[in-house]
Amino acid sequence: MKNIWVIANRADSIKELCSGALTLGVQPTLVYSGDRKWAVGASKAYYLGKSDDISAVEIAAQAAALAAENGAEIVLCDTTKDGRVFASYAAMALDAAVVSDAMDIKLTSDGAETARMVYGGSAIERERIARGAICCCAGTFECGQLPDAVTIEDVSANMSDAVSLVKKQEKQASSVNLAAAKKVIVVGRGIGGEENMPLVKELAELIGAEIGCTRPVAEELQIMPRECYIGVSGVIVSPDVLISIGASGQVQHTVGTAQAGTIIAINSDKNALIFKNCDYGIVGDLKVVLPEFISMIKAKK
Amino acid sequence: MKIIVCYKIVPSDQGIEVNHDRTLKLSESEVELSPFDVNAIEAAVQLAAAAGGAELIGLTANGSCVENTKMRKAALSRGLNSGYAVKADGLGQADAAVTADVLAKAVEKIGEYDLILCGEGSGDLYNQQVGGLLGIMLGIPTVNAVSKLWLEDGQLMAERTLENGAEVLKIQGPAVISVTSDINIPRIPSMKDILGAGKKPFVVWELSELMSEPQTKAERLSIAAPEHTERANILVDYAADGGLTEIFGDIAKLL
Repeated sequence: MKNIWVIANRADSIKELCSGALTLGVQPTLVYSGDRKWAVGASKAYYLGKSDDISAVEIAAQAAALAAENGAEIVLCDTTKDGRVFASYAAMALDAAVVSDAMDIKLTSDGAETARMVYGGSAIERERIARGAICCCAGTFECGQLPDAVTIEDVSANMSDAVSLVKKQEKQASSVNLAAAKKVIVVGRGIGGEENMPLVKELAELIGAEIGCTRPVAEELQIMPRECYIGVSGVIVSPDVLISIGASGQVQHTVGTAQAGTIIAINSDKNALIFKNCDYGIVGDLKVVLPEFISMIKAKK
Repeated sequence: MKIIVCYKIVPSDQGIEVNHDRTLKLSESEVELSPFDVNAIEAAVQLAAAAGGAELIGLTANGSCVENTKMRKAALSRGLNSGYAVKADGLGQADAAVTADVLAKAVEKIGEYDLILCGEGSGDLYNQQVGGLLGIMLGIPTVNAVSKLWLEDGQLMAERTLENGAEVLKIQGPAVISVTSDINIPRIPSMKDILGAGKKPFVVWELSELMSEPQTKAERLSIAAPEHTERANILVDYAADGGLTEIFGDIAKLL
Protein backbone atom coordinates (compact mmCIF):
# COMPACT_ATOMS: atom_id res chain seq x y z
CA MET A 1 0.00 0.00 0.00
CA LYS A 2 1.21 3.49 -0.86
CA ASN A 3 2.28 5.94 1.81
CA ILE A 4 0.12 8.98 1.01
CA TRP A 5 0.34 12.34 2.77
CA VAL A 6 -1.81 15.44 2.58
CA ILE A 7 -0.37 18.91 3.22
CA ALA A 8 -2.93 21.71 3.39
CA ASN A 9 -4.07 24.77 5.33
CA ARG A 10 -7.76 25.00 4.44
CA ALA A 11 -10.64 23.00 5.90
CA ASP A 12 -12.25 22.28 2.52
CA SER A 13 -8.94 21.12 1.02
CA ILE A 14 -8.11 18.84 3.94
CA LYS A 15 -11.53 17.25 3.61
CA GLU A 16 -11.35 16.75 -0.14
CA LEU A 17 -7.72 15.57 -0.25
CA CYS A 18 -8.08 13.13 2.66
CA SER A 19 -11.29 11.91 1.06
CA GLY A 20 -9.32 11.54 -2.18
CA ALA A 21 -6.63 9.45 -0.52
CA LEU A 22 -9.31 7.18 0.94
CA THR A 23 -10.88 6.89 -2.52
CA LEU A 24 -7.47 5.78 -3.76
CA GLY A 25 -7.58 3.12 -1.05
CA VAL A 26 -5.15 4.62 1.43
CA GLN A 27 -5.70 6.34 4.75
CA PRO A 28 -3.40 9.36 4.56
CA THR A 29 -1.21 11.15 7.06
CA LEU A 30 -1.98 14.85 7.32
CA VAL A 31 0.23 17.89 7.94
CA TYR A 32 -1.79 21.06 8.40
CA SER A 33 -2.13 24.50 9.84
CA GLY A 34 -5.30 26.43 10.61
CA ASP A 35 -7.97 25.28 13.05
CA ARG A 36 -6.85 22.23 15.05
CA LYS A 37 -10.36 20.74 14.59
CA TRP A 38 -9.92 20.51 10.80
CA ALA A 39 -8.12 17.15 10.93
CA VAL A 40 -10.37 14.52 9.36
CA GLY A 41 -9.94 11.24 7.55
CA ALA A 42 -6.25 10.84 8.38
CA SER A 43 -4.66 8.03 10.35
CA LYS A 44 -2.36 10.57 11.91
CA ALA A 45 -2.21 14.36 11.74
CA TYR A 46 0.63 16.77 12.50
CA TYR A 47 -0.66 20.20 13.52
CA LEU A 48 1.63 23.15 12.89
CA GLY A 49 -0.51 25.87 14.44
CA LYS A 50 -3.05 28.55 13.60
CA SER A 51 -2.99 30.10 10.12
CA ASP A 52 -3.43 33.67 11.24
CA ASP A 53 0.16 34.07 12.36
CA ILE A 54 1.83 31.62 9.96
CA SER A 55 2.48 31.92 6.23
CA ALA A 56 2.61 28.72 4.20
CA VAL A 57 5.94 30.01 2.89
CA GLU A 58 7.37 29.79 6.42
CA ILE A 59 6.30 26.22 7.19
CA ALA A 60 6.39 24.50 3.79
CA ALA A 61 9.96 23.19 4.19
CA GLN A 62 9.17 21.71 7.60
CA ALA A 63 5.91 20.13 6.43
CA ALA A 64 7.69 18.59 3.44
CA ALA A 65 10.53 17.28 5.62
CA LEU A 66 8.03 15.59 7.95
CA ALA A 67 6.51 13.77 4.98
CA ALA A 68 9.87 12.83 3.47
CA GLU A 69 11.33 11.57 6.77
CA ASN A 70 8.31 9.35 7.30
CA GLY A 71 8.54 7.70 3.92
CA ALA A 72 5.84 9.57 2.01
CA GLU A 73 5.52 8.38 -1.58
CA ILE A 74 2.68 10.60 -2.78
CA VAL A 75 1.88 14.01 -1.27
CA LEU A 76 -1.49 15.54 -2.17
CA CYS A 77 -1.90 19.33 -2.09
CA ASP A 78 -4.60 21.69 -3.30
CA THR A 79 -4.24 24.15 -6.20
CA THR A 80 -4.30 27.31 -4.09
CA LYS A 81 -1.23 29.55 -4.07
CA ASP A 82 -0.24 28.02 -0.73
CA GLY A 83 -0.91 24.51 -2.05
CA ARG A 84 1.63 25.10 -4.81
CA VAL A 85 4.23 26.17 -2.24
CA PHE A 86 3.64 23.00 -0.22
CA ALA A 87 3.92 20.93 -3.42
CA SER A 88 7.23 22.53 -4.50
CA TYR A 89 8.84 21.74 -1.15
CA ALA A 90 7.31 18.27 -0.94
CA ALA A 91 8.54 17.30 -4.41
CA MET A 92 12.05 18.50 -3.61
CA ALA A 93 12.09 16.81 -0.18
CA LEU A 94 11.02 13.54 -1.80
CA ASP A 95 13.46 14.11 -4.66
CA ALA A 96 10.52 13.34 -6.92
CA ALA A 97 8.13 14.77 -9.47
CA VAL A 98 5.56 17.52 -9.05
CA VAL A 99 2.28 17.46 -10.96
CA SER A 100 0.21 20.66 -11.09
CA ASP A 101 -3.55 20.91 -11.47
CA ALA A 102 -4.28 17.19 -11.72
CA MET A 103 -7.92 16.48 -12.64
CA ASP A 104 -7.58 12.73 -12.56
CA ILE A 105 -5.32 10.52 -10.45
CA LYS A 106 -4.96 6.75 -10.49
CA LEU A 107 -2.62 4.72 -8.36
CA THR A 108 -0.70 2.02 -10.18
CA SER A 109 1.50 -0.75 -8.85
CA ASP A 110 4.58 1.39 -9.42
CA GLY A 111 3.30 4.91 -8.74
CA ALA A 112 0.52 7.09 -10.05
CA GLU A 113 -0.90 8.26 -13.35
CA THR A 114 -2.26 11.77 -13.62
CA ALA A 115 -4.05 13.96 -16.15
CA ARG A 116 -3.85 17.75 -16.34
CA MET A 117 -4.70 20.51 -18.77
CA VAL A 118 -1.99 22.26 -20.76
CA TYR A 119 -1.85 24.87 -23.50
CA GLY A 120 -4.76 26.82 -22.02
CA GLY A 121 -7.05 23.81 -22.08
CA SER A 122 -6.29 22.87 -25.69
CA ALA A 123 -4.78 19.59 -24.55
CA ILE A 124 -4.59 17.11 -21.71
CA GLU A 125 -1.21 15.87 -20.55
CA ARG A 126 -1.04 12.39 -19.05
CA GLU A 127 1.96 11.62 -16.86
CA ARG A 128 3.27 8.67 -14.89
CA ILE A 129 5.22 9.32 -11.72
CA ALA A 130 6.87 6.85 -9.39
CA ARG A 131 6.62 9.22 -6.43
CA GLY A 132 5.90 12.89 -5.98
CA ALA A 133 3.69 15.80 -5.05
CA ILE A 134 0.37 16.36 -6.82
CA CYS A 135 -1.73 19.54 -6.72
CA CYS A 136 -5.30 18.30 -7.18
CA CYS A 137 -7.97 20.52 -8.74
CA ALA A 138 -11.03 21.05 -6.57
CA GLY A 139 -13.60 18.51 -7.73
CA THR A 140 -11.06 15.80 -8.57
CA PHE A 141 -12.36 13.72 -5.68
CA GLU A 142 -15.81 13.37 -4.18
CA CYS A 143 -16.03 14.30 -0.54
CA GLY A 144 -17.49 11.46 1.45
CA GLN A 145 -18.25 11.26 5.16
CA LEU A 146 -14.92 11.18 6.93
CA PRO A 147 -13.94 9.78 10.32
CA ASP A 148 -12.02 12.07 12.68
CA ALA A 149 -8.27 11.87 12.47
CA VAL A 150 -7.06 9.08 14.72
CA THR A 151 -4.32 11.02 16.47
CA ILE A 152 -3.20 14.63 16.29
CA GLU A 153 0.35 15.53 17.20
CA ASP A 154 1.21 19.17 17.84
CA VAL A 155 4.44 20.21 16.20
CA SER A 156 6.02 23.58 16.88
CA ALA A 157 6.60 25.40 13.64
CA ASN A 158 10.25 26.13 12.88
CA MET A 159 9.95 29.54 11.34
CA SER A 160 12.47 30.38 8.67
CA ASP A 161 14.64 33.44 9.37
CA ALA A 162 14.81 34.51 5.75
CA VAL A 163 11.09 35.08 5.30
CA SER A 164 8.89 36.48 8.03
CA LEU A 165 5.21 37.27 8.10
CA VAL A 166 4.51 40.93 8.84
CA LYS A 167 0.76 41.08 8.33
CA LYS A 168 -2.05 38.75 7.34
CA GLN A 169 -5.63 39.55 6.37
CA GLU A 170 -8.16 36.80 5.96
CA LYS A 171 -11.25 37.23 3.86
CA GLN A 172 -14.42 35.50 4.84
CA ALA A 173 -14.05 32.20 3.01
CA SER A 174 -16.92 31.73 0.61
CA SER A 175 -19.10 28.78 1.41
CA VAL A 176 -19.65 27.65 -2.16
CA ASN A 177 -18.92 24.07 -2.99
CA LEU A 178 -19.04 24.17 -6.76
CA ALA A 179 -17.16 20.96 -7.23
CA ALA A 180 -19.82 18.90 -5.45
CA ALA A 181 -22.88 20.87 -6.61
CA LYS A 182 -25.60 19.04 -8.56
CA LYS A 183 -26.80 22.27 -10.19
CA VAL A 184 -24.43 25.03 -11.23
CA ILE A 185 -24.99 28.44 -12.80
CA VAL A 186 -21.97 29.91 -14.57
CA VAL A 187 -21.71 33.64 -15.10
CA GLY A 188 -19.57 34.86 -17.99
CA ARG A 189 -18.32 38.29 -18.99
CA GLY A 190 -21.60 38.89 -20.84
CA ILE A 191 -23.21 39.43 -17.44
CA GLY A 192 -22.08 43.05 -17.89
CA GLY A 193 -21.77 44.01 -14.26
CA GLU A 194 -22.86 43.65 -10.66
CA GLU A 195 -26.28 45.16 -11.50
CA ASN A 196 -27.38 41.96 -13.25
CA MET A 197 -26.29 39.60 -10.48
CA PRO A 198 -29.57 39.81 -8.47
CA LEU A 199 -31.33 38.04 -11.36
CA VAL A 200 -28.72 35.26 -11.31
CA LYS A 201 -28.95 34.93 -7.54
CA GLU A 202 -32.74 34.74 -7.71
CA LEU A 203 -32.54 31.93 -10.25
CA ALA A 204 -29.90 30.13 -8.17
CA GLU A 205 -32.04 30.24 -5.03
CA LEU A 206 -35.12 29.15 -6.93
CA ILE A 207 -33.54 25.99 -8.32
CA GLY A 208 -30.98 25.40 -5.56
CA ALA A 209 -27.86 25.96 -7.64
CA GLU A 210 -24.35 27.15 -6.74
CA ILE A 211 -22.95 30.06 -8.76
CA GLY A 212 -19.58 29.90 -10.49
CA CYS A 213 -17.98 32.11 -13.09
CA THR A 214 -15.45 32.32 -15.91
CA ARG A 215 -11.98 33.71 -15.29
CA PRO A 216 -12.64 37.27 -16.62
CA VAL A 217 -15.58 37.66 -14.24
CA ALA A 218 -13.33 36.87 -11.27
CA GLU A 219 -10.23 38.69 -12.44
CA GLU A 220 -11.40 41.58 -14.63
CA LEU A 221 -14.96 42.40 -13.57
CA GLN A 222 -14.08 41.19 -10.03
CA ILE A 223 -17.72 40.61 -9.13
CA MET A 224 -17.17 36.97 -8.07
CA PRO A 225 -14.42 35.53 -5.84
CA ARG A 226 -11.52 33.76 -7.55
CA GLU A 227 -12.33 30.40 -6.02
CA CYS A 228 -15.54 30.44 -8.07
CA TYR A 229 -13.65 30.42 -11.34
CA ILE A 230 -14.35 27.30 -13.44
CA GLY A 231 -11.81 26.09 -15.99
CA VAL A 232 -8.08 25.66 -16.44
CA SER A 233 -6.38 25.76 -13.01
CA GLY A 234 -9.74 26.64 -11.46
CA VAL A 235 -12.59 24.41 -10.36
CA ILE A 236 -13.71 21.37 -12.37
CA VAL A 237 -17.47 20.91 -12.02
CA SER A 238 -19.64 17.89 -12.75
CA PRO A 239 -23.25 18.90 -12.02
CA ASP A 240 -26.34 17.20 -13.45
CA VAL A 241 -27.42 20.54 -14.91
CA LEU A 242 -25.36 23.60 -15.74
CA ILE A 243 -26.85 26.93 -16.80
CA SER A 244 -24.32 29.14 -18.54
CA ILE A 245 -25.17 32.85 -18.66
CA GLY A 246 -23.18 35.25 -20.81
CA ALA A 247 -20.16 32.94 -21.19
CA SER A 248 -18.55 32.95 -24.62
CA GLY A 249 -17.46 29.31 -24.30
CA GLN A 250 -13.69 29.58 -24.67
CA VAL A 251 -11.93 26.25 -24.26
CA GLN A 252 -10.09 27.52 -21.14
CA HIS A 253 -13.47 27.60 -19.45
CA THR A 254 -15.33 24.71 -21.08
CA VAL A 255 -12.70 22.15 -20.09
CA GLY A 256 -13.98 22.76 -16.57
CA THR A 257 -17.58 21.98 -17.56
CA ALA A 258 -17.04 19.02 -19.89
CA GLN A 259 -18.31 16.59 -17.24
CA ALA A 260 -21.63 18.42 -16.76
CA GLY A 261 -24.78 16.43 -17.53
CA THR A 262 -27.00 18.87 -19.42
CA ILE A 263 -25.74 22.32 -20.40
CA ILE A 264 -28.20 25.18 -20.97
CA ALA A 265 -26.62 28.31 -22.40
CA ILE A 266 -27.94 31.86 -22.61
CA ASN A 267 -26.00 34.38 -24.68
CA SER A 268 -26.95 37.40 -26.76
CA ASP A 269 -24.39 36.52 -29.46
CA LYS A 270 -25.79 33.78 -31.68
CA ASN A 271 -22.25 32.99 -32.90
CA ALA A 272 -20.88 32.45 -29.38
CA LEU A 273 -18.78 29.28 -29.11
CA ILE A 274 -20.86 28.14 -26.14
CA PHE A 275 -23.73 27.28 -28.50
CA LYS A 276 -21.58 24.56 -30.08
CA ASN A 277 -21.05 23.11 -26.65
CA CYS A 278 -24.50 23.06 -25.08
CA ASP A 279 -27.64 20.90 -25.09
CA TYR A 280 -30.08 23.81 -25.03
CA GLY A 281 -29.10 27.25 -26.26
CA ILE A 282 -31.11 30.43 -25.89
CA VAL A 283 -30.01 33.37 -28.02
CA GLY A 284 -31.18 36.49 -26.24
CA ASP A 285 -30.53 39.30 -23.81
CA LEU A 286 -30.18 37.90 -20.32
CA LYS A 287 -32.05 40.91 -18.90
CA VAL A 288 -35.12 39.75 -20.84
CA VAL A 289 -34.59 35.98 -20.88
CA LEU A 290 -33.80 35.50 -17.17
CA PRO A 291 -36.89 37.25 -15.77
CA GLU A 292 -39.14 35.19 -18.03
CA PHE A 293 -37.24 32.00 -17.23
CA ILE A 294 -37.61 32.74 -13.52
CA SER A 295 -41.33 33.46 -13.74
CA MET A 296 -41.93 30.31 -15.81
CA ILE A 297 -40.19 28.19 -13.15
CA LYS A 298 -42.18 29.91 -10.39
CA ALA A 299 -45.42 29.30 -12.27
CA LYS A 300 -44.57 25.62 -12.66
CA LYS A 301 -43.75 25.23 -8.96
CA MET B 1 21.36 45.58 -7.22
CA LYS B 2 21.36 42.78 -9.76
CA ILE B 3 18.06 41.17 -10.76
CA ILE B 4 17.66 38.09 -12.96
CA VAL B 5 14.27 37.77 -14.67
CA CYS B 6 13.32 34.31 -15.99
CA TYR B 7 11.03 34.22 -18.97
CA LYS B 8 9.74 31.67 -21.45
CA ILE B 9 8.98 31.78 -25.16
CA VAL B 10 5.70 29.92 -25.74
CA PRO B 11 3.66 28.97 -28.79
CA SER B 12 1.07 31.64 -29.59
CA ASP B 13 -2.53 30.54 -30.16
CA GLN B 14 -1.80 30.42 -33.91
CA GLY B 15 1.22 28.22 -33.17
CA ILE B 16 -0.84 25.33 -31.80
CA GLU B 17 -2.61 23.01 -34.23
CA VAL B 18 -4.52 19.86 -33.36
CA ASN B 19 -3.64 16.90 -35.58
CA HIS B 20 -6.22 14.31 -36.67
CA ASP B 21 -5.10 11.91 -33.94
CA ARG B 22 -5.69 14.73 -31.38
CA THR B 23 -1.96 15.21 -30.78
CA LEU B 24 -0.65 18.77 -31.02
CA LYS B 25 1.58 20.31 -33.65
CA LEU B 26 3.59 23.14 -32.10
CA SER B 27 5.18 25.77 -34.29
CA GLU B 28 8.72 26.97 -33.50
CA SER B 29 8.05 30.25 -35.29
CA GLU B 30 4.54 31.24 -34.17
CA VAL B 31 5.75 32.15 -30.71
CA GLU B 32 5.40 34.92 -28.14
CA LEU B 33 6.76 35.93 -24.75
CA SER B 34 4.72 34.15 -22.12
CA PRO B 35 2.32 36.92 -21.04
CA PHE B 36 2.86 36.19 -17.33
CA ASP B 37 6.60 36.76 -17.70
CA VAL B 38 6.07 40.19 -19.22
CA ASN B 39 4.71 41.15 -15.79
CA ALA B 40 7.90 39.79 -14.18
CA ILE B 41 10.08 41.92 -16.47
CA GLU B 42 7.98 45.01 -15.72
CA ALA B 43 8.18 44.28 -11.96
CA ALA B 44 11.98 44.20 -12.25
CA VAL B 45 12.01 47.51 -14.14
CA GLN B 46 9.81 49.14 -11.51
CA LEU B 47 11.83 47.76 -8.61
CA ALA B 48 15.04 48.97 -10.26
CA ALA B 49 13.56 52.46 -10.58
CA ALA B 50 12.54 52.42 -6.92
CA ALA B 51 16.03 51.29 -5.89
CA GLY B 52 17.69 54.06 -7.87
CA GLY B 53 18.98 51.72 -10.54
CA ALA B 54 19.79 48.04 -10.94
CA GLU B 55 21.27 45.68 -13.48
CA LEU B 56 18.48 43.63 -15.08
CA ILE B 57 19.37 40.32 -16.72
CA GLY B 58 16.97 38.15 -18.72
CA LEU B 59 17.25 34.35 -18.61
CA THR B 60 15.38 31.84 -20.75
CA ALA B 61 15.67 28.17 -21.74
CA ASN B 62 14.12 26.56 -24.81
CA GLY B 63 14.72 25.07 -28.23
CA SER B 64 15.98 27.04 -31.21
CA CYS B 65 13.34 29.76 -30.65
CA VAL B 66 15.69 31.35 -28.07
CA GLU B 67 17.66 32.65 -31.07
CA ASN B 68 14.57 34.16 -32.69
CA THR B 69 15.52 37.85 -33.14
CA LYS B 70 11.99 39.07 -32.60
CA MET B 71 11.71 37.20 -29.29
CA ARG B 72 15.14 38.43 -28.12
CA LYS B 73 14.08 42.01 -28.86
CA ALA B 74 10.66 41.45 -27.30
CA ALA B 75 12.34 40.61 -23.99
CA LEU B 76 15.22 43.09 -24.06
CA SER B 77 13.11 46.04 -25.29
CA ARG B 78 11.10 45.91 -22.08
CA GLY B 79 13.96 47.22 -19.97
CA LEU B 80 16.40 44.33 -19.47
CA ASN B 81 20.09 45.27 -19.89
CA SER B 82 21.24 41.93 -21.22
CA GLY B 83 20.10 38.35 -21.68
CA TYR B 84 21.17 34.72 -21.41
CA ALA B 85 19.53 31.74 -23.05
CA VAL B 86 20.05 28.01 -22.63
CA LYS B 87 19.35 26.07 -25.79
CA ALA B 88 18.50 22.41 -26.33
CA ASP B 89 15.89 20.58 -28.35
CA GLY B 90 12.78 19.84 -26.32
CA LEU B 91 13.59 22.23 -23.43
CA GLY B 92 10.38 24.15 -24.12
CA GLN B 93 8.31 21.07 -23.35
CA ALA B 94 10.38 20.01 -20.33
CA ASP B 95 8.56 19.59 -17.02
CA ALA B 96 8.87 22.14 -14.22
CA ALA B 97 11.62 20.26 -12.35
CA VAL B 98 13.84 19.98 -15.42
CA THR B 99 13.25 23.63 -16.33
CA ALA B 100 14.09 24.75 -12.79
CA ASP B 101 17.22 22.57 -12.79
CA VAL B 102 18.44 24.10 -16.05
CA LEU B 103 17.67 27.65 -14.85
CA ALA B 104 19.45 26.98 -11.54
CA LYS B 105 22.60 25.89 -13.38
CA ALA B 106 22.40 28.98 -15.60
CA VAL B 107 21.90 31.28 -12.57
CA GLU B 108 25.00 29.77 -10.95
CA LYS B 109 26.98 30.40 -14.13
CA ILE B 110 25.77 34.01 -14.31
CA GLY B 111 27.13 34.43 -10.78
CA GLU B 112 26.19 36.97 -8.11
CA TYR B 113 22.61 38.22 -7.93
CA ASP B 114 20.30 39.90 -5.43
CA LEU B 115 16.92 38.76 -6.69
CA ILE B 116 15.33 36.41 -9.23
CA LEU B 117 11.90 37.20 -10.64
CA CYS B 118 9.55 34.78 -12.39
CA GLY B 119 6.01 35.04 -13.77
CA GLU B 120 3.11 33.17 -12.21
CA GLY B 121 3.46 30.25 -14.61
CA SER B 122 4.30 29.73 -18.26
CA GLY B 123 1.57 30.47 -20.79
CA ASP B 124 1.80 26.96 -22.26
CA LEU B 125 2.32 24.28 -19.60
CA TYR B 126 1.36 26.57 -16.70
CA ASN B 127 2.72 24.39 -13.91
CA GLN B 128 3.28 27.42 -11.67
CA GLN B 129 6.12 25.48 -10.09
CA VAL B 130 9.35 26.69 -11.69
CA GLY B 131 9.86 29.68 -9.34
CA GLY B 132 9.28 27.53 -6.27
CA LEU B 133 11.54 24.68 -7.37
CA LEU B 134 14.25 27.09 -8.56
CA GLY B 135 14.44 28.79 -5.15
CA ILE B 136 14.63 25.48 -3.30
CA MET B 137 17.33 24.19 -5.68
CA LEU B 138 19.36 27.36 -5.13
CA GLY B 139 18.80 27.10 -1.38
CA ILE B 140 17.19 30.55 -1.10
CA PRO B 141 13.70 31.70 -0.07
CA THR B 142 11.01 31.47 -2.72
CA VAL B 143 7.71 33.33 -2.57
CA ASN B 144 4.85 32.97 -5.04
CA ALA B 145 1.61 34.90 -5.68
CA VAL B 146 3.34 38.23 -5.17
CA SER B 147 1.01 41.06 -6.20
CA LYS B 148 3.09 43.92 -4.79
CA LEU B 149 6.84 44.21 -4.34
CA TRP B 150 8.66 47.10 -2.71
CA LEU B 151 11.68 48.17 -0.67
CA GLU B 152 11.30 49.41 2.89
CA ASP B 153 14.53 50.77 4.39
CA GLY B 154 16.43 48.70 1.87
CA GLN B 155 14.51 45.57 2.92
CA LEU B 156 12.51 43.63 0.31
CA MET B 157 8.80 43.39 1.09
CA ALA B 158 6.22 41.34 -0.77
CA GLU B 159 2.46 41.16 -0.63
CA ARG B 160 0.95 37.79 -1.53
CA THR B 161 -2.63 37.69 -2.77
CA LEU B 162 -4.26 34.45 -1.68
CA GLU B 163 -7.65 32.92 -2.39
CA ASN B 164 -8.76 33.70 1.17
CA GLY B 165 -6.89 36.89 1.89
CA ALA B 166 -3.51 38.51 1.64
CA GLU B 167 -0.25 38.56 3.56
CA VAL B 168 2.82 40.76 3.70
CA LEU B 169 6.25 39.15 4.04
CA LYS B 170 9.68 40.55 4.79
CA ILE B 171 12.37 38.78 2.80
CA GLN B 172 16.08 38.64 3.67
CA GLY B 173 18.85 38.06 1.19
CA PRO B 174 18.55 36.78 -2.35
CA ALA B 175 15.21 35.17 -3.15
CA VAL B 176 13.07 33.92 -6.01
CA ILE B 177 9.84 35.91 -6.32
CA SER B 178 7.01 34.76 -8.61
CA VAL B 179 4.70 37.65 -9.39
CA THR B 180 1.02 37.58 -10.32
CA SER B 181 -0.35 38.91 -13.58
CA ASP B 182 -2.03 41.81 -11.80
CA ILE B 183 1.13 43.15 -10.12
CA ASN B 184 1.43 45.77 -12.88
CA ILE B 185 0.35 46.77 -16.35
CA PRO B 186 3.45 46.23 -18.50
CA ARG B 187 4.46 49.17 -20.67
CA ILE B 188 4.51 48.72 -24.44
CA PRO B 189 8.06 49.13 -25.81
CA SER B 190 8.60 52.04 -28.19
CA MET B 191 10.21 51.65 -31.61
CA LYS B 192 13.37 53.15 -30.06
CA ASP B 193 13.33 50.50 -27.30
CA ILE B 194 12.98 47.75 -29.89
CA LEU B 195 15.81 49.07 -32.07
CA GLY B 196 17.98 49.56 -28.98
CA ALA B 197 17.26 45.98 -27.85
CA GLY B 198 19.08 44.65 -30.91
CA LYS B 199 22.32 46.15 -29.61
CA LYS B 200 22.09 44.70 -26.09
CA PRO B 201 24.33 41.74 -25.16
CA PHE B 202 22.64 38.35 -25.46
CA VAL B 203 24.52 35.10 -24.81
CA VAL B 204 23.25 31.68 -25.89
CA TRP B 205 24.62 28.62 -24.10
CA GLU B 206 24.16 25.09 -25.35
CA LEU B 207 22.67 23.00 -22.53
CA SER B 208 25.77 20.79 -22.65
CA GLU B 209 27.88 23.78 -21.56
CA LEU B 210 25.96 23.83 -18.26
CA MET B 211 25.17 20.26 -17.38
CA SER B 212 24.72 16.74 -18.60
CA GLU B 213 21.24 15.80 -19.82
CA PRO B 214 18.72 16.71 -17.05
CA GLN B 215 16.72 13.78 -15.70
CA THR B 216 12.95 14.07 -15.62
CA LYS B 217 11.12 12.48 -12.70
CA ALA B 218 7.77 12.32 -14.49
CA GLU B 219 7.20 10.23 -17.57
CA ARG B 220 4.97 11.97 -20.10
CA LEU B 221 2.51 9.44 -21.52
CA SER B 222 0.69 11.76 -23.92
CA ILE B 223 -0.39 15.29 -24.71
CA ALA B 224 -3.61 15.28 -26.71
CA ALA B 225 -6.63 17.47 -27.29
CA PRO B 226 -9.55 16.49 -25.06
CA GLU B 227 -12.30 14.40 -26.58
CA HIS B 228 -15.28 16.52 -27.47
CA THR B 229 -18.38 15.83 -25.39
CA GLU B 230 -21.34 15.35 -27.74
CA ARG B 231 -24.15 17.78 -26.96
CA ALA B 232 -27.70 18.04 -28.28
CA ASN B 233 -27.27 21.64 -29.52
CA ILE B 234 -30.96 22.58 -29.58
CA LEU B 235 -31.03 26.34 -30.22
CA VAL B 236 -33.80 28.90 -29.93
CA ASP B 237 -33.65 32.59 -30.69
CA TYR B 238 -35.60 34.30 -27.93
CA ALA B 239 -36.83 37.23 -30.02
CA ALA B 240 -37.38 35.42 -33.34
CA ASP B 241 -38.86 32.21 -31.92
CA GLY B 242 -41.24 33.90 -29.51
CA GLY B 243 -39.71 33.23 -26.14
CA LEU B 244 -38.88 30.10 -24.23
CA THR B 245 -42.06 28.05 -24.55
CA GLU B 246 -40.58 25.78 -27.21
CA ILE B 247 -37.86 24.37 -24.99
CA PHE B 248 -39.03 25.21 -21.50
CA GLY B 249 -40.87 21.92 -21.11
CA ASP B 250 -37.68 19.94 -21.68
CA ILE B 251 -35.59 22.19 -19.46
CA ALA B 252 -38.11 22.32 -16.61
CA LYS B 253 -37.88 18.54 -16.17
CA LEU B 254 -34.21 18.96 -15.29
CA LEU B 255 -34.60 21.71 -12.70
